[in-house]
Amino acid sequence: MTEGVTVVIRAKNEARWLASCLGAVSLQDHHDFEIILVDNESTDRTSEIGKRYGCKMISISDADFNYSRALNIGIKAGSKPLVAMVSGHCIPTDDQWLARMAMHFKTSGVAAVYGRQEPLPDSAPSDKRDLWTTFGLDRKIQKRDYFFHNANSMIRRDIWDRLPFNENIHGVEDQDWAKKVIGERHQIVYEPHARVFHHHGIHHQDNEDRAARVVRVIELIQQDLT
Amino acid sequence: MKIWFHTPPQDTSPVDGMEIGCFVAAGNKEQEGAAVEVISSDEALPETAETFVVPSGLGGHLDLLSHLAENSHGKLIFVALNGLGSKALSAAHQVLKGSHFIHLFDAQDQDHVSYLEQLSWLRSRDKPFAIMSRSTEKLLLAAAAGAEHLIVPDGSDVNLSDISRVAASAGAQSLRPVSATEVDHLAGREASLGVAQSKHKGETILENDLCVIINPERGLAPFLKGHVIGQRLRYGIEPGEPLHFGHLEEGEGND
Repeated sequence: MTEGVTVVIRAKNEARWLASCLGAVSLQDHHDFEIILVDNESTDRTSEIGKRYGCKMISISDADFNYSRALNIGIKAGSKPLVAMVSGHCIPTDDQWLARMAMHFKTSGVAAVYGRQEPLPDSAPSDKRDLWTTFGLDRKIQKRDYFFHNANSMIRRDIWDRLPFNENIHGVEDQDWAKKVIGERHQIVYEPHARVFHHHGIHHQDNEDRAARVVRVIELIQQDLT
Repeated sequence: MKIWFHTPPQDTSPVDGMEIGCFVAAGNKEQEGAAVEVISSDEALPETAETFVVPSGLGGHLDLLSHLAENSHGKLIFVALNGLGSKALSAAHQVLKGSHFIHLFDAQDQDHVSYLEQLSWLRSRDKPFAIMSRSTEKLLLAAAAGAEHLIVPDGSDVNLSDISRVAASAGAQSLRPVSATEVDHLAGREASLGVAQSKHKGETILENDLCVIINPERGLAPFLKGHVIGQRLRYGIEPGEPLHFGHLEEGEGND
C-alpha cells in the first residue's frame, strides 16, 4: 500500500499567506507528496510564489470558477492515492500535519479525514470564537454526522474517482460530498492533531451574504436535493 | 498478501493490498480456485485448484512431493516444514527442484517462543513463506514478519483490516508507523522548538534564541532548527510557547 499524497490548494490573491502555507507543506515529515495550486485569476504574486515552491500550476477563470470545480480539476491533475486539500491562507502548524491525517487511511472504511483549524493571534474575535467552538480537542469517528471541512482535509482518490465534488452547488461541497460518502457506509475522521492556522476562520467574520448562501446549500443537502 | 480461509469471516469487504482465497482440507469437496490440501501420492490432483498444500507431518513424504512436482503444472505448492531437520529439508528441496513451492509453517499448537523462533528463521531466509494458524495474534505476527500467504484452516474470527494494516507496514513501500494510538500516547510529551527569551513581531530568529521545550501543543520538531534560524517572525512569541510554521514569515512579509 502506498500513501503518497496530492496536496491541492485553491487560491485567489493569497500572496500574503501562500509562502507560509507552502513553506510548511514543503517541510512535512511525510515525504511522498506533490502540490497542485489551482489559481483563480490572482492579480498578486500568488502564481510566482507557487512556481517558486515547485507547485504544478492550474488556472481557473472567474467565468469557470466554482469551489467544487476548482477542487475537481486540481485533484484530476494529480496522481497520488490520497488527496489533501488546504486553503491557500491556511498554514499547517507543524511538520506532521500530513502524516497525522494519512495515518487514518490504514484503517479500511475511512474515506476522509479533516483536521483542527485554529485562529492566529490577529484573527477577528468572531473567527476565533467560531474556530474554537467548532474544532475540539477530541478525535471523532463520524458514521452519521457529515460535517467535514475542505480547508484542512484529506480524502481517498479512489472514492473521489467515483464521487467527485458536486459542481451544481456553490460552496459547502465538502458536506455535500461527506453526506454521500457516509451514505455508502464509509467513515469520516476528525483528527485534532492535524492542525492548521486559518486566519479568516470558517465564517468570514459573519459575512451576511456568505451566511445566506451557505444556509441555502445546507438546506438542499439536508433534503438530499443537491 | 493472500489469506486463505476454510470458512471466510462474515465481513469480507475489500481490504487494501489483500486477496482472499478458499482453503479446502483433504477429503472435502473441491472448490474452483482453492488451495487444496493433498495427503496421498495416489490421489489425482484437481485441475481446478489454484494451489496445493502439503500439511504438517507430510513435508518429508518424498513420494507425495514427487507426485506434486510431476503433476502440479507450475502451480504453487505450500510445503509444511514442521518436523523436518536440515537433511530432510534438503531432500525435499531436491525432489521439488524446478517446482514452484514455498515453505509453510503450521503454527497451530506451537508455543509462543517456538513460533517466534520458526518465524524468525523463515524471515531470515529472505524468501516467500506461508503461515497456517487460526489464532489472530499468530496471524498478525506473521503479517509483521512479512508472510506472503496466511492459511486459516477452519472457522476463525480474524480481523482482516488489522492484518492488512500490519502487512502494509511490513512492506517496503510503507512509511514509518504513525498511528492514532501512538499520537495519543505522545500528546503533551513531544519536544518542540521554543524561544529562550521573548521575541517580537518582525524580529529575526537567531540560533541562540532557540531552545527545546515540552508543551501540550506540539510545535515545530527540533530537527527543523536549521530552517527556522534567520526567519522573521510574523507574530511575537514568549518563552514556553511552541514555535509554529504560523510564526514564520517565510521571507514574504505582507503583500
